[in-house]
Amino acid sequence: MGRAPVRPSLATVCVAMPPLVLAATTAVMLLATALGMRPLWPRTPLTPAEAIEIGDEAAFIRLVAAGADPNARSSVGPGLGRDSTRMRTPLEAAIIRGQERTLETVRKMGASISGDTGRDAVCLAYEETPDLIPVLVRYGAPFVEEDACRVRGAQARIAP
Amino acid sequence: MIEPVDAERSAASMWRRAAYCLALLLATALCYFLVHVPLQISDDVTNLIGAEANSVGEIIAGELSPGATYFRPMLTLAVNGAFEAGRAINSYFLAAKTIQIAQVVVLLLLVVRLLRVETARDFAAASVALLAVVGMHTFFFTVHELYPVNTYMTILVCCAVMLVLCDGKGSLWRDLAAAGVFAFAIFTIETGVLLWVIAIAGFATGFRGVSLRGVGGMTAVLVLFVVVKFALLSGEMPALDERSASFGFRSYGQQELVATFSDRRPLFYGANVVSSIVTVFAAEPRAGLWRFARAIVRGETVPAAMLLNVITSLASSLLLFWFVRARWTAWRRLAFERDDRIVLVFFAVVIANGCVSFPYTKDAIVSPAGLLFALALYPALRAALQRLDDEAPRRRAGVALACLLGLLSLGWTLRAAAVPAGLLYVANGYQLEWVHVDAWLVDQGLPPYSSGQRQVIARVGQEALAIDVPNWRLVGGWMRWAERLFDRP
Repeated sequence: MGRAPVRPSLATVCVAMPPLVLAATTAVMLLATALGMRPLWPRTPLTPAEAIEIGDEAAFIRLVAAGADPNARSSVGPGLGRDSTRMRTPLEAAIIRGQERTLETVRKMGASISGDTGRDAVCLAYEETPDLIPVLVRYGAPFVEEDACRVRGAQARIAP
Repeated sequence: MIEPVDAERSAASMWRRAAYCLALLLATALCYFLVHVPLQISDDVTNLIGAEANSVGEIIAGELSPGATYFRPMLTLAVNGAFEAGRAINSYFLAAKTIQIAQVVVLLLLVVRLLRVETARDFAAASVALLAVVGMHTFFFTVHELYPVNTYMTILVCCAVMLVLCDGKGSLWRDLAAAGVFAFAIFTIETGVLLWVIAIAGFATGFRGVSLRGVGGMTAVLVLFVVVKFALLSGEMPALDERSASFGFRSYGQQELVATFSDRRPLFYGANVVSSIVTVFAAEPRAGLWRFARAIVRGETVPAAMLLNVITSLASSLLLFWFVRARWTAWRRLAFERDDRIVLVFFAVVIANGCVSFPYTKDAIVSPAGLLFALALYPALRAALQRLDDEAPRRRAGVALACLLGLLSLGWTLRAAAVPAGLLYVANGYQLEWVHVDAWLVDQGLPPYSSGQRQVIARVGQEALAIDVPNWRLVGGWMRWAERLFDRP
């Protein structure tokens, strides 16, 4: 087979171009990563409630381990469950998500389910996921009748 | 004054260095993502706690007990080595990832070594071949799981080493190394037998790095393996109810598989062989499931990622068959050049790989054929570029063909660039598994763990959850389109 011409041909350029563009982009991204930026896996920082609402329990655990309060309300941005930004506790987010195992993670990480918090949680579960009410009670939430919840107006408190 | 020969040599050296740099860059980027993927629970934890509870000798003795099906002492050694290293540095994750990174880097460097880049044209073809190695759907499964050493990646590295050994001047050390690498591979996992196929096909087509003596030594190792497998062990094939599988357009659960195919095993096994071969050329079916054909037949929308994979792989296969056709006359005279040998070894491996996949097929099992496919693409692409340069550099047809080859290159580039999206997806999944590891352990119904084993599980879980993995649904920038271009099976 003959030698390639000194100047790369059109076909050679066409074939080499996509890998070279990828290589150049990758090199720049790796450099930026080394400088502390995150262009390779760009992400939006999550709040504890957001992490729970989208089911990213590992992110929630990391946030709490880093010092976040597992009982504090934090924002849930638009597109994550609802159309507008809302303030929720991780426990409320877990009830809205509706999965027992998520609720268990929130409890394990220190969310309080007793007292008024537990009553509010049960009232929210009546509206969102009644299946979770026995689970909440098992975890220590006081049982509340549905009528009593209306009185407490728990739903109103979490409305925007 | 610089002599023309010196200038040519200098240019060759420059392009070769450029190819190595590209391989290292790719490896670095890939490893950045790999170190963000936690160890998975299934297989990984089971193997680690096995290593904690038993010595290498005890595990190997267990594998040799009556009724045992597999004999994989090298896998046992690798797993125990990773476990001991992890215990020594108090990080099982770090130990496993160090081995994985070393394997990925070595593999990509060996690929460049095999490509023998000397010109700009070679470099262009080599860059596509490198991206095809990473972007090939069969490659993904060799990097996203660890047990804690991915045995399929080990086999890929061994295949590349075997090719390097075959591709050179014969010597005693190459023969000894070939027998040693083969023994290591086949006693790691059964698909290691493909190294023997590489050596035989390589020798038959004219590679003389591993001589007849070396091939004989490898054959002796193969005989030893067969004796161990069928004389000392039960020699039984995996049963139908060992795992779920796919046939045609649908998947079958374990019991359903037994009910449907226990009387028609040859049909199921034959379908597995065909699926394993076709997937290398067409990126479909995946693990025996013909998703693309099903979507077409049912009039469903074909996802962009699946379309990208199928078109790129089919176009590359067409190029490969064009190369075969172009070289057919010489092949009939048994006149094989180096490029021909690589392509012929690929065809031998893809057939053998398909055959060994008869009881069970999945992407990882055919990964050696996938690697060889990318290597065989290199001579085909280079020959096409040369034909274009020689015959029709400025004609319209020449320009159109150049653009088509450019599109093929773009396809492989997109496939390789989309791999991090797949890694992110599995990383999220593995982390979630670790959050609920207690439930998983109960579900498995394994015997109670010792305190040492519980410590291992706790440590691996702690490391897994500490990794800052962004949520795959919220990741931004280029990952948004990469996610759409990654074909998750």
